[in-house]
Amino acid sequence: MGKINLTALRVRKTALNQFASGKINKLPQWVDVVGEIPPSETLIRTPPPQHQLVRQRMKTVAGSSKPQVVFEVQENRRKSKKPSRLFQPLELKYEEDELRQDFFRDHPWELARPRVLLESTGKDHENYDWSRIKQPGKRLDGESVVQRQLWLLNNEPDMTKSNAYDIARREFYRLRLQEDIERRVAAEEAEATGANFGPSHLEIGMDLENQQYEKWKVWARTEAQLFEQRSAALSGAPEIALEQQSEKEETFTEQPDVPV
Amino acid sequence: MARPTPNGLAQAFQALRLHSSTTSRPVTRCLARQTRTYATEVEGQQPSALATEEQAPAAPEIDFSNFSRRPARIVPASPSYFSGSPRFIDHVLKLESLQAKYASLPTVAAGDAPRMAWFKFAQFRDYVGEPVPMKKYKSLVKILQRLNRIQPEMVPREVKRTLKSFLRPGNPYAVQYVQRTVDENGRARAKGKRKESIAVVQLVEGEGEVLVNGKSLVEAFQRVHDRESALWALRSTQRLDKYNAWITVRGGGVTGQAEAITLAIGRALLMHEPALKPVLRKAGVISVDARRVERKKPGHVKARKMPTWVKR
Amino acid sequence: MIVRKLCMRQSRQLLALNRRAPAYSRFLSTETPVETAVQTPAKESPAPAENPLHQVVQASRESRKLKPRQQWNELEKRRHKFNTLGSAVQESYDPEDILRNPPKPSDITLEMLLAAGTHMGHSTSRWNPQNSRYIFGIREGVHIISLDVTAAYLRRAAKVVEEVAARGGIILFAGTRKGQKRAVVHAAELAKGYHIFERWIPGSMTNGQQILGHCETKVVNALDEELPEFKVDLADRPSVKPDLVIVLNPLENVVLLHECGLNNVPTIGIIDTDADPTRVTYPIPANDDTLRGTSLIAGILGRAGEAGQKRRLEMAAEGKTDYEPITARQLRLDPLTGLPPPGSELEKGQQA
Repeated sequence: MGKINLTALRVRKTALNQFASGKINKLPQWVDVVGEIPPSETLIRTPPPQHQLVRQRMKTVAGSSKPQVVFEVQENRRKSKKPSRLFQPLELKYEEDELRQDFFRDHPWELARPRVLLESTGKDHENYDWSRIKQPGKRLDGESVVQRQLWLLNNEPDMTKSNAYDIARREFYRLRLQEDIERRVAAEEAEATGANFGPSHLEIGMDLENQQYEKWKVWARTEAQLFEQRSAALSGAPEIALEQQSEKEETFTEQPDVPV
Repeated sequence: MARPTPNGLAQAFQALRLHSSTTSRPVTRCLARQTRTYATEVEGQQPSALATEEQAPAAPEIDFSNFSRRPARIVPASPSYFSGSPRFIDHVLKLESLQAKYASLPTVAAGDAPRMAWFKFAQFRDYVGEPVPMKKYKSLVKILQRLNRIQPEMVPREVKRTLKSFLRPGNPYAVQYVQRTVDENGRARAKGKRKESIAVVQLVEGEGEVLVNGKSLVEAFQRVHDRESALWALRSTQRLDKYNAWITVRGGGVTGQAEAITLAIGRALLMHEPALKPVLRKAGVISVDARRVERKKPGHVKARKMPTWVKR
Repeated sequence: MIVRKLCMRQSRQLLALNRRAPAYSRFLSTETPVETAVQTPAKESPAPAENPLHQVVQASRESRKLKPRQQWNELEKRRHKFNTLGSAVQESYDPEDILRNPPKPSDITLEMLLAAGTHMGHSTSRWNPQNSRYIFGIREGVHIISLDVTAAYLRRAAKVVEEVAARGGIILFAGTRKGQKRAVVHAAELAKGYHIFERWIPGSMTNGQQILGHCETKVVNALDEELPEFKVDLADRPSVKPDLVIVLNPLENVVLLHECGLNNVPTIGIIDTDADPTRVTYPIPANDDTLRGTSLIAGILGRAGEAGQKRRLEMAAEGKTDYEPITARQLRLDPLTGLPPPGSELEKGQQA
């Protein structure tokens, strides 16, 4: 049938036909299994799942005392309405995406921190409660800020995006600072009890740089000597060159004596 | 008609080999089948039923009323049947599981592990009865070597047994190399080869007399160069007048014979005076020249020479 | 120096010229290069008697030294002792777990599939539009496979495996990618099936007599016990063909799937967004590039096969089978013509 090969989907029919025509003298054991559990209709095209960007907000309405949950739905815009594009999958969009983009644009170095990508059960989100930024079993990172900001937007009445961002960010900074202090204190305590951490990354880097600089100095000195010799040879007799050099040096040393 | 394919026959024989303990029935049946398959032309003159029964007495009837005696399915014997080399793959999987099981046992360095003579490639192919490629056999040997590196005192019995099944018969590493020495009469006997020549030298302490195949050195070798090189071992160590040599040399040409004698004398001299080894090595006397004439190839005039190109 | 480099660049032989030739000095000179005196090896005199105390000390030292086995046992004991120290890690991911103890088909959850990364498809430009119904959406230029569809199709495939196993079918697991070996072997072990983790030899099914002819087969009863008395009837039989083929990487096993089509064998395959779903009878839309995902799916199907085999053996213990067993008479018949072999008792019975 043209481009599409349907042999795999029609195994049962083929087996029955072969049995009926006497090509095989025994039906295979799987015939009734495939009959009971038929293969799916692979070739039918279904409309792709439609994805809308839904924003949940709490808003105080003039009439009631309690703030109400409001859902703002943003339809996904199709690129083209051609029939050929009708069955193409759509882009997935979530509200966090914008928040995430904003945060990491402002804090690009957060991306340089190590991150655990592996999921053990896929149910990690069940343990998280974003009414506070610190979560058990999750290290504090940019994602915490994004989730906290989203929770604030969804659950706090009349929260704006920038407000939520500020709150989440401030909490994040405070905890980061606390972490830093804790780490420093722990290091100090350890050093006081006899630990030896060795040179830090910065010190190692500076050492390497110093080594290179020393090497360069040696190299530069020899290069300078060679250059001098070459220039002396080019300018003719070495005595003249030497004299010229000494004259230059004299002028150089005399300069400070020149009254200003 | 069932055509006797080689595979079918092979399988039938394999069945016989593997189940030699079964009743006599399969064997006789197999023989009967063979006569049938090879005598297709004379089918009309089949031996009478009585005769066949005489040849193959009827086996005890199988009780098919018993459910567990009834056949149900034909299945492959090994789970790696579809890979085409099931025995090999089964061996590999077994060894890998052993390796994983005993991975935590301490090991010794590769040089300290007991030396084992694993099957050679062709032997292994015979052993499994499958056309295993070299590369896969090498990977198997790698696993064997890893298992062999387990600390000798701690090797589990299971591993020992498995490793033993991959050893080739006989133990080539049991042969101890014996250092040859001067015999009770003060003779050192040594052999040397070069090109096609083989020289045997008997060296005794003496006044510098040399006999080559019963002739003197001058008679045996016309060229001075050959005489020089034949006795170079003695000359380079200034021992020309301290040893007598009785030499038998055969095969090859004059140069080959001379240089075979060099090597033989060098070796014999080493038996008398082992301390000379560095000197002789430097003089190039005890280094074996393993070069031989390269074989001629088809399509070539000699070993490498191609016939001249002729236009038309 | 330049000349030397030129040699290096031009040829090995030129380079070899540079090396010092082996000692051929004897051809060039008649002078003797060294002067040495005749020396015969001095006979070794017996070593002076050692201090008798030395042996005593040595022996006591030897006894105090532990043998390697004891040493290792001590080390293991210490390791176990220290392993219990520190905090207990809960719910940690162990890559071996999926291989050693795969979940049952009834345990399939979307979270499990998500954690295994089965939802990640390929770049949108590489898609096969026939897969559009399995795709949930596009994210970062990558197609995301719908996990509920994956779960549904996986359950269906597991059911098929179970039923085929219960009917005594021969199930072949094929995963020829690097790293899939253990998952494939373990799944086949669970389902009492067969495995392929290296290349599928083209023609193993269509030209089976040549390629698999030398591989052994056996006749078993309904309880899976071998019946050696039928061994001789197996000669000259066509090679065994699988009843169900499970392919973990259909893209690399096109030949296998083609042969399955020619031999009318149903197939199950993991179909990524760039694979052709019509190639297999029962597709499982999932990511076929993650080893964790493929091992999970292979494990689930292996477990399904295990359940089916268990059911079959339970039925057999009661003396029933869910399939039509091959009879002794069929075994004796010529496999090609279906006629009894001439001169046998069967033929006599037929003629009478």
